[in-house]
Amino acid sequence: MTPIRRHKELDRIWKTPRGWGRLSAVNHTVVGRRFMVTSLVFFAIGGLLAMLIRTQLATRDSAFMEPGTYAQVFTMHGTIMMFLFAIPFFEGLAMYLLPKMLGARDLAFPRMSAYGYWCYLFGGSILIVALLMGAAPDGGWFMYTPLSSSTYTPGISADVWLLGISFVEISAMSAAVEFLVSILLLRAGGMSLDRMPIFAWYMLVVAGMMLVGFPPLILGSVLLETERALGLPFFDPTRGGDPLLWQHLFWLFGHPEVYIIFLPAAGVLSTIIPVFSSHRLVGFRAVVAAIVTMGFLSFGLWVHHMYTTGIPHLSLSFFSIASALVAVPTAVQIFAWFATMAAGRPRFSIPMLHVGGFMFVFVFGGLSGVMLAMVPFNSQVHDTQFVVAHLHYVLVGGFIFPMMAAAYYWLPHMCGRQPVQHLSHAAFWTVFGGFNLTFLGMHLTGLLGMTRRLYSYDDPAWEVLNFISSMGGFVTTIGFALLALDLILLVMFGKRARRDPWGAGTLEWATPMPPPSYAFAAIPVLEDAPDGRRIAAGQGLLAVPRGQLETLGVDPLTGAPQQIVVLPASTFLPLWTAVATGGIYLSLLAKTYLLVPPLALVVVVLFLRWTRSTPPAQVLDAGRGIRLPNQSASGAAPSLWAMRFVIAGDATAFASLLFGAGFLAISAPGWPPPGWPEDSVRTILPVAVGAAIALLRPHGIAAVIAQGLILAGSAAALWRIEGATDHAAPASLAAVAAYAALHAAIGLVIAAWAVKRPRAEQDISAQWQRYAAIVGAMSMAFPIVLRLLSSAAA
Amino acid sequence: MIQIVRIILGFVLWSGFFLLIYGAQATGCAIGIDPARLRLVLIAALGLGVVAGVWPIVLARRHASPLSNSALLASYAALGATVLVFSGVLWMKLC
Amino acid sequence: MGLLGFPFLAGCDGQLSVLDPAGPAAQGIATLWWWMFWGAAVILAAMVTLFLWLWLRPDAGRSVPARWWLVGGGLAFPLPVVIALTAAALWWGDAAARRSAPLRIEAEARMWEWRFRYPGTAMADSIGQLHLPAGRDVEIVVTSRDVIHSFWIPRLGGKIDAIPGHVNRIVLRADEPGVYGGVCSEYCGLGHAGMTFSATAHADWPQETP
Repeated sequence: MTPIRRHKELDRIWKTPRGWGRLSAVNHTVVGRRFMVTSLVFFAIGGLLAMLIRTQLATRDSAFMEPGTYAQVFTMHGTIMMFLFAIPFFEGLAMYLLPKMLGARDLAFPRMSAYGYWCYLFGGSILIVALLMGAAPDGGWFMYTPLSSSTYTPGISADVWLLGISFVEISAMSAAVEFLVSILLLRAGGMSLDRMPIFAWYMLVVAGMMLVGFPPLILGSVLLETERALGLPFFDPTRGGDPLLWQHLFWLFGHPEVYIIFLPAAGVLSTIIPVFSSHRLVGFRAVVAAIVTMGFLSFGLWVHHMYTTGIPHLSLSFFSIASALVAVPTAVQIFAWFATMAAGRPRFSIPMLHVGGFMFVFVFGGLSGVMLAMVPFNSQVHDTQFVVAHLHYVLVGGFIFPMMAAAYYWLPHMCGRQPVQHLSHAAFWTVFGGFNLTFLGMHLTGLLGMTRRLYSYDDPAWEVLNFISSMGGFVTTIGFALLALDLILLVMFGKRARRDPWGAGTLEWATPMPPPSYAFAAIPVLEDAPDGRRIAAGQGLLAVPRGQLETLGVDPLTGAPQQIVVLPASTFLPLWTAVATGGIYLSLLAKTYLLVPPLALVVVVLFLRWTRSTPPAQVLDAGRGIRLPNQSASGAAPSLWAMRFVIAGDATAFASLLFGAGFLAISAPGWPPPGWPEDSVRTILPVAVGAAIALLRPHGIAAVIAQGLILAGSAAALWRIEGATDHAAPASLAAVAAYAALHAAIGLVIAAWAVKRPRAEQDISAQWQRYAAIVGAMSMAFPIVLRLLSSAAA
Repeated sequence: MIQIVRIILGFVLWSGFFLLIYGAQATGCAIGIDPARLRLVLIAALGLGVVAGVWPIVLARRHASPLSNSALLASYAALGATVLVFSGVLWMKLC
Repeated sequence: MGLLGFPFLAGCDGQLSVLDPAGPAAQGIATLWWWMFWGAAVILAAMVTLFLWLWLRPDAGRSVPARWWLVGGGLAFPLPVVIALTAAALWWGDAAARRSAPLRIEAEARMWEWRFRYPGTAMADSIGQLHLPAGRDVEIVVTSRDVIHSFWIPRLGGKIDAIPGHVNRIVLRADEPGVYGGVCSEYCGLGHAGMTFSATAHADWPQETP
C-alpha cells in the first residue's frame, strides 16, 4: 500500500464531516482546538473586565461604576479566568497533544471530549449571557456564604454561578477520566511509563488531581444550590449550618486548582527547555517524584486561605508547613531545568524568551507565596491587594507565560507554518513590562492597607500606586493584542514549516504538519526508532485500514501491545446529550422543576444510545504478525478503567459529603438538633439485603433486584426525614439518603441495561453495582455516626 | 499497575494521616478532650505515621523496576512531609 | 533598614499601613516581613541571574554534575530556608495564640458597620469607633450578625474574621495613644468599601468593674 493510498483510506475513516457535520466532531485534534479557541474568547472577555476594574481604580472616588456593577465585574473576572479560561485552555492543549505525544490516534473516549466541550460552551455562555443582562454573580469568585445565600443574594445571580460552573465542571471531570485512561492505556507500542514523555507524566498527575479535586466543589455547589432553592440550611448558622463548611469545600478544591493550572504549564516547560538546550531532561525520575509530591502536597494546603477564620493555630501549622514545603518540589523542577540548560547548549528562541518571563514572574510569585504561607504575615495581608498581586504573579507567571511559550512552540505543528518573528519580541516585552508595572507596586498597595474588592477609596498614597497599576494594565492589554496579532499573522502568512522544526524528537512531531485526522499512518513502535517518514510509510502497527477507527491499547506499565481499541466515529450524540443536559440546568435555573425528570430521562436514553457502537468481541491482526483482541475481548477495556476512575471521583464527593456533615456536627452552632428521625427496620433492612446481594452477585438480574431494594430503602429513609428545612442535621441526613438513592437509581439503570449485554460490559456494570451497594450501606450507618459525634460534641 | 501505586503509596499514607491527625485534633478540641490526653493521641498518630511511612521506602528498595527510583524519592519525600507537617503536635498549643 | 526599598514611603501618613506598626503584634509581623522581603529579593536576584547566565553563556555550568544541581538547588537550598522561616513564624504565632487579656471588648459586625461594647467598664457602647486603653493588651471578641466580615486594624496587628455563628478573638495592643484606622477586609456586599471604623487608644481608661 502506498503512503498516498493509506492516507486517503485512513482519512476517509477518521475525518470530521464538513458543513453542519462539523458539529458532530469528536476527533481530539478538532475538539482540542475548539477548547483552546473558545477559552481564548473567554480570556478576552475576562481581560476586558480587568480593564474595567483598572479604570475604576485608576483614580480616587471614581464614579465610573456603581458598587453593584463593580461587584459583578470583579466576580466575573475571577470566575471567567479560572473556570472558563485557564482550565479549559490546558484541557484543550492536552487533548490536542497527548495522543500525538503518546503515539495514539485519538483519546480513549472521543465522544466524552465532545460532550465535555459542549457542556463547557453552554455553561460558559450562560454566565456570559447573565453578565450581559446585568444578572451576573456578584459575591466574589469564591462565593462565600452567607453572602451568597438567598437571604443576602436573592434573585438568580448566585444560581447562575453555582449551576453554570457545575455544568462547566462536567467537562473537567470527563477530561480527568479521559486523560487518566488514555495516558495509561493508549500509547505507542513499547512505550513504557519510564519512557513516556514528561508532559504526559505531568498530565497523568494533573488528571488524578482533577479527579479528586473537583468533586468537593461540585458537591459544595450542589449543597449551596439546594440551600438556595429548597431551603436545606447547610451553611446557615441560624439553623445548624456553618458558613465555614463552604470555605472548606471550596478551598479543598480551590487550592489544588492552582496546582492543576500550574502543573500542565510546568509540563510544557519540562518539554521545551530540553529541546532548546539540545539535551534530554536531566533528573527525569526526580522530576516525576517532584510532580507526585506536588500533586499530593497541594491537597494539604487548603486552609491557608482560611488562616483568619479562627481555626486553632495548631491546625493552621499543618497547612502552613505543607504550604512552605511545596517550595521544595518546585525547586527540584526548576533546578532540573537549570541542570538541563547547563548540560546542553541553550539557544535563543521566542519560546525561550517566554520561559525567561516565567522564570522571573513565577519565582517572584512563589516567593511571595512562601511569605503568605506564614500565618502571622498572612493575617496582615490576607484579603488585601498584596494577595491580588501574589496570585497574579503565580497564575500569569505559572500559566500565561508558559502557555505563550507553548503557543509559539506548537503553533507550527497545528498550522504547518513557522513564526514570522516581527512582532514576537515587541509583544513579549510589552506584556512582560506591562504586567510587572501593574502588579509589582500592587504588593505595596496591599501593605499600605488597601483591601481587595474596593470599588472606591480616598487615600492619596493608594492613588499613585493604583494609577501606575492601571497604566500597566493597559500596557499589558496592548501587549496581548500584539501577541494575538503576531500569532494570527503566523497562522495566515508564516512560511511553510518543515517537519520537526525545533529538532524535538517527541512523537507529536512525527505526524505531518498540520496533522491529518488520523494523526499517525501507523501506530509507532518505539524499538524501531520511529520517525515521520517511516510512520508515513506504514512502519508500525495497525497500518492497514480496516474501515473502523483503530488505535493501540498497551499494558499500562510496560507499553507492550495488549489490545486494539476501536473508537467511535463522528456523531451528533454528544451535542444532543449536552443540549438535553443544558436543558436540565436551564430548568433548574428557571425553577421549572417539573421539566427536570423528563429531561433527565432524555439524557439517560441518549447516553445508553452511546453504547451501541461497542464492537463485538474479536481478535484482529495488528500488523507485524501480532494478533490482538479488541477492547470487547481483551478483558481490560478502557471503559472498565474509566468506570474505576469515575467511582474514585464519585467516592471523593461522597466522602466530602460525609466529612461536611461530620464537620457541622462538631463545629456548627445550634447542634445537637431538636430531634432525630427514628431508625426503622423498614428502611434499613431493604438496603442491607440489597447491598449484600449487590456485593455478592453484581451481575445479571440479581443486580437489578439489589439496586431496586437499595433504592426503595433509601427513598423510604429520605421520605421519613422531617424538618430538613429547619435544621442542618436532618438536611444532612436527607442529602446522604438522597445520594444513596441516586446511586442506586443509576445502578438500577446500568444493571437493567447490562442484563443482555456481553460479559465484558456486565463487568463494567458490576463495578458500579458494588460501589452503589457500599454507598447504600454507609448511608444507612451514617445517621448513627452523626448522632454519636453530635452528642459527644455537645 | 502495582509499580504506579508504589510511587504514590507514601503520599497516600501521608494523606490518610493528614486527615486522621487534623480530624482528631479538630474533633478533640470540639469535644473538649483533656489536652494532655489529646496530645498523647496526636503524638501516637504521628509516630504511627512515621513508622508507616518507612514501609513504602522498603518496598521501593526491595522491588527494582524502571519506576522504583521515582518511587523511592517520592516515598522519602512523603516521610519527610509527615515528620515536618505534623511536628506542631509536639510543642504547640493544642486548641 | 526596610525603608531603603521604598524611599517615598517615609512621607505618607500610613493610617492603614502594615509597614508603620504601632503595637507589638504589628511590629513583630513587620519585622518578619522585612526579613522575608530581603531574603526573597536575594533569592529572586540569584535565580534570575543563574537562569540568564546559563542561557546566554552556553558553556556555563557545564562542569557542575547533574546531581549537584538537583540535590543542592532542589533540596539543600530551599529546605533549610523554609524550615527556618516556618519554625520562626509558628513560634511567634504560638506565643500570640497563647496570649489573652483580662480586658475584653466586643466587636459586632453587621452590614455595614461595626458596633463595640465594653462589658465591665464604664464605657458607653459605640458605633464605628473603637476605644481602647493605650499600652495594654486588649482582647477583641469578634462576631457577626449577618454575613462574614473581617476585623482589621493594620497598624496594630493582623485581622480576624467575623463569622456568623462563631466567636473569634484577637489580642491587640496600641503602644501609644492615638487614632488608628480600621476596616472590614472581607467582601461583604455593596457597602463593603464604606465599612470602616477608627480605633482610638486613650492614655487614661476608666477603672474596670470585675
